[in-house]
Amino acid sequence: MSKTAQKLLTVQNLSVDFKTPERVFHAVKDVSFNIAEGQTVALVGESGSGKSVSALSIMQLLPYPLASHSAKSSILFNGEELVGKKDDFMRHIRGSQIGMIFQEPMSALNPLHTIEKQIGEVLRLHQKMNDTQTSTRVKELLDMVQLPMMKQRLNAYPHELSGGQRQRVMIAMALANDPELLIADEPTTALDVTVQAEILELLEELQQELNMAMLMITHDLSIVEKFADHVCVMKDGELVEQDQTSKIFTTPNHIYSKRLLGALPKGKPQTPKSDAQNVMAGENIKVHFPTQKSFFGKVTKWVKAVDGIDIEIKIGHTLGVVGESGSGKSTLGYALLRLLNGQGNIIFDGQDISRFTRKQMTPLRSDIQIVFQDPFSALSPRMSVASIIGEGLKVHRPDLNTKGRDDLVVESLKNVHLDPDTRHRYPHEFSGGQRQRIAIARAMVLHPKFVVLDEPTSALDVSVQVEIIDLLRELQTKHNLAYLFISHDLRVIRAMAHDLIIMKQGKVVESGKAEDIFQNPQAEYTKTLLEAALNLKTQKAA
Amino acid sequence: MNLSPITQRRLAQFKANKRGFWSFWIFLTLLILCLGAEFIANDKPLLVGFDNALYTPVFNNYPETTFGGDFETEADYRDPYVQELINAEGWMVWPPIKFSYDTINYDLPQPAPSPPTIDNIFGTDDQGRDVAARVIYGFRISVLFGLILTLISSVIGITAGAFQGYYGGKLDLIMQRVIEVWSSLPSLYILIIFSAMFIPGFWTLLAILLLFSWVSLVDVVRAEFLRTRNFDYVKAANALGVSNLTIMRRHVLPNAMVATLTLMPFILTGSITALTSLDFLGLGLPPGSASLGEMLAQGKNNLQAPWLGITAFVSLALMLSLLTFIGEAVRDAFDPRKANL
Repeated sequence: MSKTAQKLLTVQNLSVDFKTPERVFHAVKDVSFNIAEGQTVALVGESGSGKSVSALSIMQLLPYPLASHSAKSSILFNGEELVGKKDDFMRHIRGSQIGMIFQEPMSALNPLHTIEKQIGEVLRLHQKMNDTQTSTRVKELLDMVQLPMMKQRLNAYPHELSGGQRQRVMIAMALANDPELLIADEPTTALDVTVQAEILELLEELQQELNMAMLMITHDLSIVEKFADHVCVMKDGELVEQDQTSKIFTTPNHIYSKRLLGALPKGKPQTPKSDAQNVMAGENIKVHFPTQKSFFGKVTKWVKAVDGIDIEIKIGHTLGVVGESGSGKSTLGYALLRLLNGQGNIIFDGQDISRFTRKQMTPLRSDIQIVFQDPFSALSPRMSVASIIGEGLKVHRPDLNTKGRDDLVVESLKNVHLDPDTRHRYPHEFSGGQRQRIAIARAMVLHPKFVVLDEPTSALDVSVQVEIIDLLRELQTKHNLAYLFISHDLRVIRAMAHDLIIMKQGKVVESGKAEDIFQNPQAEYTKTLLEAALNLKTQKAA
Repeated sequence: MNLSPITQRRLAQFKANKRGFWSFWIFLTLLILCLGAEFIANDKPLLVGFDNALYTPVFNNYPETTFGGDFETEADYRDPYVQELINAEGWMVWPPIKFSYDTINYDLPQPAPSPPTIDNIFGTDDQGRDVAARVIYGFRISVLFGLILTLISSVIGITAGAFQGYYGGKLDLIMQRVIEVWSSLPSLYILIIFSAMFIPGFWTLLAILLLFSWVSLVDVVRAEFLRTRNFDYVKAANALGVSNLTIMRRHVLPNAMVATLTLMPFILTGSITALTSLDFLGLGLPPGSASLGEMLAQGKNNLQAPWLGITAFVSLALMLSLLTFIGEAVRDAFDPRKANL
């Protein structure tokens, strides 16, 4: 990309205010950046930093007049001021000169329109094409986004496509009118890692082919490093630093950029005793859900969420479970906890608990705990932190009085590095990371031997992820805990797991020591997964 | 009182609906006044000072002989002879309306139903009873009946819905079918048949109406429990080993309460209307008891005496409108998308 290319988009002193009943919320404060022709600019920041709002202002798609720009705000596109322009004018820009790709391909496509209609709509609108022209161009576009097989299925509806295919259709829609600028709002966040890599490669190829500028909004720094020419780091609505990608990644100036860049999960799991005994083992675990029943109630179709899995977890060890969405990772975790009923033997602490009733399980519950992915839904919004953490104590430690329980709650909050004085507050007063600490405290207060961690870091911002991983490692060493760590994020897994199993469609693809698998993956699927996640490169399946 | 922010927001939202907020206070005032109906409309004085002693006829029965009369029976304070006896050596404080709901005024300017006079501000009904007094007592019995019915049917409805929604499966399937069959029965006819079989009284009527009214909440609560039982914090409680009943009470029920509270004012109006319609048909409360439905029926039978129909209509319309307005405000309060503060 030439450095002397003309400026396509100039954003100057952009501010966005939102009026809420209580106050005016400044979502974006005085942001300025440029995009040259054919250049890729990345807007990076954690959730709530104003990335998406900035992008939507370029399209003038904010809910005006609830949202408003300050008088100084200016967005020049090809020399034309966009701020404050009427919808009539913007409609010529949107979809024809500036295209946009959204995060969630399922909700961004109209479920009642066929693929041809979705893509064709922009063509008919902006280029006034007739049916035959539209159809030809749609086929051309499908070739371009590497969906040639879809040419025979122009009448397919969005639900018939996979997530990656839907995202490709979205890209085709955005590219239909050869836009000069493409805004991609977290284009791959909702997709699995292997698909992510493919979509990103496609975007890069198309960009070079069409010499199109791209504004990429993301929180994933590995994507930025690979694809962007220029990076803008945003925090709390302010643009704290912007520079060429290589410069930012080598010598970040602003303290926040440094934190963000240093936030990639690092470190190694501690080495536990090698002669440790098994605390939890599963033999041939199967969980099948009926999806179709015959007239007489006999099940004719099953979803095999978990289909014959053997695992072993030793004291003080972490078993990582990796797989894409729908591979049955969480179901496996729930089955081990006996929150779901499945087949196969589950041996915990020397006894087979797979046939235990709810009553028989109750005394064991204090030894087996779980931490969930989303800290916002895992804590009851109507209970104070003290009662959330103390709930398990009420069941398992009836010998304690109120004072004794409170002491343990205080101790557990200290263990997760939270101020014990906050225990009478409600969950909504805490940030995502703090909430996850509370959820961990709830599990740890009972002194469990085995904890299932179901994507405990996925819903958190990167810088918080690191803290939580450090905490989990610290607790593991302190209490000699066994973890089942479920995640799709291989970097997190690498920092946590001693042993690893890779799951796909309910079956184990590969298992063994984490080190061995990372160094020398055997199965084809594992190789693709590792490369997609760690190098963002995929070899096209031969 | 330590209110959580979410409760504070709901209170503010409730207050923001001015119509509902004022309706609430007006209704509460009317209810409190009517609960003390004996002190507003009664055929006994509130306080009698006689022979240097105080008497409270509203609470105690005093034989006529107490005041120097002839009979051992309870004094009839409306009797001019008794009044004369008391006034000779003491005094009486009367409530604003000198009639109880069943007091027959024999001193009427024209045959009953007689039009409004100073004594009977809303006139009398066709048996010479004061309409104002009957409205006050009728309002009280309607509201109390409605409140008790709503309360009991909510308890039954929530329990049924909770178990169906939380456990799901066969229990849910069977109960849903039973409720579908049950609620498609023509309830008014069955109510009529039942009231013909039993001697209607306050509690029998309550039981009969309860047979059908408990169903209304089941669906809402069931749906809420079905949704909530898969929440992470419910799973977490399960993993902690908390018992099912505790989980239902502590974690799931608070979610269902929003839907329940929103529906309650409307169940209340429904209950009151049901009682009124039974009374109107003559199948409700026993003859002689104060009831708005019975007064409506009288109004229909005595079109020449419009004060009967108009009073009954106005008081019913007022009560139901107030409750509906309150219901709207409650619904606003629990609506998370509403933010016009």
